[in-house]
Amino acid sequence: MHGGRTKEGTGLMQAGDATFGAGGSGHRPADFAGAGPAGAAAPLAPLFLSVRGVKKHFPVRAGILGRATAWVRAVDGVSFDIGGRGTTFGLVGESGCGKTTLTRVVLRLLPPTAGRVLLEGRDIFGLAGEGLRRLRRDMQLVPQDPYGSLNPRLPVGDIVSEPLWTHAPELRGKALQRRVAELLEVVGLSSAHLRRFPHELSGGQRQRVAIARALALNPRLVILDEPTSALDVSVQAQVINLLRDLQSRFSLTYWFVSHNLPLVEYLSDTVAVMYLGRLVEVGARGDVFPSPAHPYTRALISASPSPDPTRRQEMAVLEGQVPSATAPPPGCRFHTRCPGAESRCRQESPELRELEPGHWVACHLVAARGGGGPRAAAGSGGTRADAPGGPQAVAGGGGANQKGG
Amino acid sequence: MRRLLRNPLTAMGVAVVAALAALAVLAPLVAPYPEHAAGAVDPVHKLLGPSPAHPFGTDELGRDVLSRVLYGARISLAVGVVVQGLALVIGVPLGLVAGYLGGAVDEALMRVTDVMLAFPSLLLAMVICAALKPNLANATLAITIAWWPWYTRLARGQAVSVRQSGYVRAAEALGVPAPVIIWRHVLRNSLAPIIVQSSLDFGAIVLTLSSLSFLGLGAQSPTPEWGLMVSLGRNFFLTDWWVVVFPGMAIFATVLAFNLVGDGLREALDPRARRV
Repeated sequence: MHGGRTKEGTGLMQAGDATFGAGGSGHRPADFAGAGPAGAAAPLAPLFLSVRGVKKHFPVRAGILGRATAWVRAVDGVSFDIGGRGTTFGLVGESGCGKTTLTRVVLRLLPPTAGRVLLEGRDIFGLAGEGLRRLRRDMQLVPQDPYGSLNPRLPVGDIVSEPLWTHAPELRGKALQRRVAELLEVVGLSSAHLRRFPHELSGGQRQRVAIARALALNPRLVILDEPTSALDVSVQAQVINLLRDLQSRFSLTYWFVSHNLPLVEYLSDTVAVMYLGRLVEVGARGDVFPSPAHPYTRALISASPSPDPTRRQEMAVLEGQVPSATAPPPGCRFHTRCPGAESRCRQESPELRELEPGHWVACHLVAARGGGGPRAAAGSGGTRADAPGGPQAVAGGGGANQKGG
Repeated sequence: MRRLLRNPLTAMGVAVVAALAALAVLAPLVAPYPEHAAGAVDPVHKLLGPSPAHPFGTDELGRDVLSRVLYGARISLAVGVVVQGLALVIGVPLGLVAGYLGGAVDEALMRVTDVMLAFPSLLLAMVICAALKPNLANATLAITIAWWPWYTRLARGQAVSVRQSGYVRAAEALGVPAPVIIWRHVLRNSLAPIIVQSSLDFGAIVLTLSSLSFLGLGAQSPTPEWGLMVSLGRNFFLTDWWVVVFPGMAIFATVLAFNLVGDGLREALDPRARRV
């Protein structure tokens, strides 16, 4: 129904999809840190969300018969884990790399081409009927654009009560009104806003309404798709603080999608970097940001402005354009722009390898670092304390709380 | 509403439409000779020019033209409302469903409307009227059949664009059932152009009904239908102009007034014009 114009391109699954475990390491006890690919064997601790080899290819249709003449490989074999509740998984990548498509596939708004997604052990792609309805309760989306995501003809009260109407038939009348007012207060609005229409609200207020709508059903996972990219910087900060606040209050699990690196660094426990439909690097925030391993991650981090002069480093400026997702380059997808590309990079596609426990990189050029040392075993809380800057210290405290929850 | 009346032409259109509606409702009280609309004749006073007793004159059977024009307003407006209502009730839901669901449902429905729209609506209505027994009810039916595909097309186009919007995607992510999405989100945000189009179309429906009647395919004598009155009076047009001119003016004024209202509504409801 949602993919009326797209057909699943089944049978396109290639051999040798990278399957690995990451992201969980920072949030699981030390003895799991060296357990290796979590998806290969039965996981020892139940992973919160586990994404395996997910692909989404869109057909490019041509001619009157509408035959697919080419495929846009928007998402091409992505695997990652979100370890535990109350954590934040950050997904970074430039526009068009497939971030939003990936979230839409995981939300079951687009049919997947291949892959498997488990949410607390439930196979998401296998769900239908009542199971799918439950999934919609458990995974909520805060969309990118608060100007488009609210129906201009519905008052705020109706917008926020929509999920409750849909999924909570026991909540009607006064009880429903009370719950909606409560939700508005939780996101920093008041019941005075109930009868307002979206065009009467500011961008930040609208995004608060979208957040209230997403939280209405106490979701297990909240997907934040660039929740602040449409807002002013000052308003961004308010919304980000609200999101952090809500996370610690309700021990929410966030999947935060953005192209804003400082924001991802500030919010995330685990970070994944996406390039042209694939993940190039995954690891704990405290591993990836101070010492990015993949040349693309390095370029991204050096290109993002930092207010801290001690963190300035030489700019690694990338040349060229992002290749087309219709005809991705053979071998490593990044080799056309990689400063250190070798002949091997043009032929063999690198798989994600574990550089150090919990830190995975897809690059032929990166040699494994130490690995399995005491630093990794200490978990992300330890590594966070090493990270420079103010916000990190705050974030480390939050992480410690979340581990307890 | 204030925005609507700010434009003097629109205000005039609204005034004429309001006056027509009032006269149509009050016709039995206002018309000097109500019986002349129901079939009574008065051959003694036939083809009298406009006078205080008969402001619009009398026709070839001595019937008061003013009374018949007033009763004619009832017929035209009633048929307009019925056709419009049926066409909207049939056309809009089909269009919204086709546009929102897409795929095979969309293809099937759109091919049906394509076939319907391939014929000019007046011609299609004429064929249907000719095939059935020509009378007012069948003319209403025929115009409805010729009309609904336009609304299906319009509603579908709206639904296709609204389907892509962030709030529809958000509702889908929430798991809101498709019928609720169509009703709450797609319909509400598709209404403005549909309202504009229906007010513009109202005049065209009145005109089509009059055309059918003029051709003898719609209302039959002695029904005081404007088109039929023009048709019957055209034999005396050169000598007794009032028999034709007054019903003709009524058609003209009605069509013009609804077009003015439609244009005004379009300006008032266009979100691009509104967001300054």
